[in-house]
Amino acid sequence: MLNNLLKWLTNSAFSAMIIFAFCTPTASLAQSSFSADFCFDRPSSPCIVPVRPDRFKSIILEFIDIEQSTIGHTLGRLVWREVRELTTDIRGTVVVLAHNQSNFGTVSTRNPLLSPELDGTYPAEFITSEMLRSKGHIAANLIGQQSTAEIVIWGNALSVGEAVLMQPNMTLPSISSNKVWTSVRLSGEEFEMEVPLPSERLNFPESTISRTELFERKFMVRCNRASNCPDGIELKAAPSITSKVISRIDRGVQVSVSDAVNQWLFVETGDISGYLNIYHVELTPANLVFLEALVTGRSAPNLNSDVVFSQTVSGIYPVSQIAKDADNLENEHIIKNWYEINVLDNKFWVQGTRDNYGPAMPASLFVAALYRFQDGQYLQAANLIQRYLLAEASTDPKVLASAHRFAALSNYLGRKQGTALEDDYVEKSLEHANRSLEHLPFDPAGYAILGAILTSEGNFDDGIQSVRDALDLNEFDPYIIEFIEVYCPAISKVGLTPELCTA
Amino acid sequence: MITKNLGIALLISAFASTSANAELEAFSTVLVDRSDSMQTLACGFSHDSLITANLGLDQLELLILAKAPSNVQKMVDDIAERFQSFERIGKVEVYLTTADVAVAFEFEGNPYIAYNADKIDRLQSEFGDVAINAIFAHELAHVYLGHWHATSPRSVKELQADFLAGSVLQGLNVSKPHSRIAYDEFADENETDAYPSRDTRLGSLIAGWEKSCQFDPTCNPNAEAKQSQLDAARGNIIVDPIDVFPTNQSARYSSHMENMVDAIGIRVGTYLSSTGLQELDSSIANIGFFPLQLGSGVFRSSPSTVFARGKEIDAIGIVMGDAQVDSGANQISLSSTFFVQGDHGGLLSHRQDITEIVPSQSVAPSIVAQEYLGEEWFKMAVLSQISRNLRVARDSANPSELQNAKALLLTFRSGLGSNDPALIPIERFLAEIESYNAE
Repeated sequence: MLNNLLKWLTNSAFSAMIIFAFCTPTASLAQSSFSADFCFDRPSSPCIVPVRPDRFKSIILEFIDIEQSTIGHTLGRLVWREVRELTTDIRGTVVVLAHNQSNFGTVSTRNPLLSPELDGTYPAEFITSEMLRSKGHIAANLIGQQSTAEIVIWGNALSVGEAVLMQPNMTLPSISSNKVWTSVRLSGEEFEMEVPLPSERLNFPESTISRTELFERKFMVRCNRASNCPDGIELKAAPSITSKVISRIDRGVQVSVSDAVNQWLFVETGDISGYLNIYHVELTPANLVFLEALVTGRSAPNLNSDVVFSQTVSGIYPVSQIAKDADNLENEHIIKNWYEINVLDNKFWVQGTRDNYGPAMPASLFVAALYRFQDGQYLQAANLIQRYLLAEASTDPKVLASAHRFAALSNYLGRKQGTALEDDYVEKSLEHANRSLEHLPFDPAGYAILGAILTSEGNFDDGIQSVRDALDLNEFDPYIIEFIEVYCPAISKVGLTPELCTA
Repeated sequence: MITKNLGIALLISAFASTSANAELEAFSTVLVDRSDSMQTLACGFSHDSLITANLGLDQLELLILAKAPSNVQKMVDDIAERFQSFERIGKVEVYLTTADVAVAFEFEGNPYIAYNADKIDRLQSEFGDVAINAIFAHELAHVYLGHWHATSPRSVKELQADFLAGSVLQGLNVSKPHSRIAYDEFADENETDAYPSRDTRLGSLIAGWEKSCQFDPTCNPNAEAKQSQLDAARGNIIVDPIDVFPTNQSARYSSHMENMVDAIGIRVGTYLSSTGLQELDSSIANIGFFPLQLGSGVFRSSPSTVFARGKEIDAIGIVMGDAQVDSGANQISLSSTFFVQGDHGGLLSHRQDITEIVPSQSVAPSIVAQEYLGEEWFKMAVLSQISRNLRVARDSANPSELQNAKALLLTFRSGLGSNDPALIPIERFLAEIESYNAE
C-alpha cells in the first residue's frame, strides 16, 4: 500500500501538482501569466485606483476562500453590511465592498478598486485575493494606500460541509508616512501635540461555527431603493442574477435564512423558498450586546406595551424574535426594530439601537469604533471598543493592546464630551494605556502613546520617561523615530529639552 | 544485591539448536565462557571493558535483572525477522542487565541479548523507537554471524556487525540519519582495543545501509533527498507529502489535505505579514513550504527522529500529517516540529501534535489546521530564521548583519505578550549580539 502511494506521489503529474500548490501561492494565476507581484511593482500605474478619496472609508475585501466554497464572498458581504449598519449615520464616510466581479456570473457591477486598465483582463477578486494570499497585510497595506482607504478588512475563510471558519484581519495602512496611520491632536493645559498613531496589522481570533449557525436567523426583506419596490423583491430559483424569478416578496416580510451562496441567502417564507440577495434584507442582529446599559424590556414590540424589565445589564444575548416598529416601518436599518431576548430568565422585547447591535463578526465593532474615532465621537468609540472586548474573547496581545490604546485615546480625547468628571475619563484613559502595555510590554508604540497622554496632562517627568522607554525598546522603529520628531518640538514649547531629543 | 550463579555457560554452536531457550532468572548472575582464542562469547555494543570488569581471563559475568518488557521483546523479534534464515537461530530472549548499553551472549547454547534499561530508555525517550533499532540490530548481527565462534579480530567482528546492522536497518525503512543515532550516542569516538573508532564504525554501518538499498526495489532513491533539494529546502518549512497525504484512503481526501497545506501557508503568511519582519528582511519574506520526502525512517511519533532530520538538512520546520478512517470516524492528525538552530547554548525545538476526530462525511483537515495551529507555530518559524541569520552574521563578523538581526529581534519582540515563550530565545539572541559587539 505504501509503495503504491509512493509511486503515486512520485509520478510526475502529481509531483508537479504538489509543488504547484506548495511553492506558488499564486499558482492559479501563473497559468494566466499573472503574478501578484505584478501589482507591487507598479507604483506609477497601480492596479488599484483611488476610491472616494474625499471620504473616510474602509475597504471590505472578500475573504480568502481556501476551499473555494463561495463563503469568502458571503463573509465579505456580511461584514460590509454590518459595518455599514453600525456607521450609516456618520456623515462623510463610506464602506466599500470590493467584491468579485466575475464570481460565477452572479454580480453585474464592477469591482470599484480595479484599475480600468486591468478591468476585463483579470477578474478583480483574482487580483486582490491573490495579492492577499501571497503578501497578507503587506498587500492590504498597499491596497489601502492606493485606494486611499483608512481601513482595510480582509480575512481567511474555510467552509467544508457544515463547518465555517472565519478569521478576519484589519490593516490600518501607513497613510501619512512610514508606519504612521493618522494623527490626532492632544491638547493639555500647556502641552499640545499632533500625535502620530501607528499603522496596525491585526489578526482577529478565528472562530468556527456551522453554516446554519451563521445564517440561521430571521431577517426582514427590505427594498432600500428609491422606487420603493412596488412589485416586491425578486426571489430566485438559483443563486445567480441570471436565474429565473420564482416569486416576489414584499418588503417588511420576515424570512428564515438557513444558508448562503455568495451574496444569495437561501430563504424560506411560507411555502416558498429560493435565493434572495443579501442586500435586500435588513441585517438584523444575531444577538444584542449590552455594556453596563440600563435595559428596558417590554411585553410586546411597541412603546405602549408594559415595561416588564428594567435593569443595568452587561452581556451578550441571542435574539429569538424580531419585529418592525409600527412608527418606523420605512426605516430599513437596524435601529428601531424590536428584538426579543431572554435576560436572567426574563423574556422581553427591546428596541434596537446601534448601541446594542451584536454583529456576527465582533471585529465589526472595532471597525465601527474607528469610524466614530475619526469623526470625533470619542466616547462612542470607547463604548464600541469596550463592546468589542466584551463580544470577542480575544487573547491575541496585539489585538488587545491596540483596542486598549484606542480606548485610552478615545477616553482622553472625549474627556470633555461626557457627563462624568473630566478626571474620570483621564483616569480611564491611563488605565487603558497601561492595559495596553500589559498586553504588549515590548511595543514602543504603547509607551509613546502613554507618554503623549501623560505629557499632555502636565506630568512631564513620567511622560518623557515613557517616551524614553519607547525609544529604548526599539531605536530602529520608524514609527518611534517619527513620533520623537513630533514630540521633541512640542515638548520644547513648554521649555523642556529632554535628553532623548538631544541625542 | 542478591545474585545467583546459574552456572557456567556452555559453548555450543549457535546454529545447533532451535529449541526453546532456557529462561534466565531475575537477579541471577550469568558467567559466560570465553572461547579458546580468548575471544569473549559476549559482544557488547560498546565499552566492552565494563562488561568484563571483574572477571578472570576465561569468564565474564552478567547480572540479569529481569525479562525485558514485551514491547522490547517484540521489537527484537521484528528486527530478527529481517535476518535471512533466522529460523536457524531461534528466538533470542531479551533481558535487562547492568552491563553497559547492550550485550549479546550465548548461554547453554542459546543466544540472548541483555541491555541496560536506563540507557536504552533514555535513548528511546529522546529519539524514539527508531534509534534503539540500531542497537538491537547490531546485537542480533553478532548472533546471526556466530561471532563467539569466529576467530577474526574483535574489531573486525564489530565492523561486520555494524555493516549487517546497517543493511537490516535499511530493510526496516530506518533512514540513514536515524540508523546512526545510537552510534553517535554510545560509540567511542576513538579506537579502543575492541572497537574501531566511531567514524569507522559509522562508515561500515552506512555502507551496509547503501548496499541493501541497491538491491531493494522499494528503497526509494527520493527518500534520501538530493543535494539540490536539500539546498532548496534549507531555511524553509518542509512539508513531507508522504505523511501529509492520506495513506489509507488514496485520493478520497487528497483535495482536503492539499487545502490543509494551503491553509497553513496562508496562515503563516498572514502572521508573518502582521509582524512587519518581512519588510525588514528578505529571508523572512521568503519563508515558505517546500515539499520533501524525508524518508520513511522519519516517524511522526518520534519527535527526535524528525528533529534529527531537520537539523541535518537545516530546515526551519517540518510539518507532517495524515488522515485516516477508523470505524466510522475520520481521524485527522497533524504534527509540526520547528528548529531553532545555531550555537545558542543548545538546540531549541518546538513540537505540536494535533489529533482531531471529526464526524464521517465532513472531513475538514484545513479547518483542523486553521483552528488548532497556534501562533507559537509561526513564531518558531520566525525564530528559526532569525537564528540562521544570526549564525550567518556571526560567521561573517559583519556589523551591519548583526544590526539587522537586532532590528528583527526588537521588532519581533514588540508584538509578543509578556508571557510569550518566544521571549526567552529572543533575549538570549539579543545578549548574544551584545557579546559579539563587545568583542
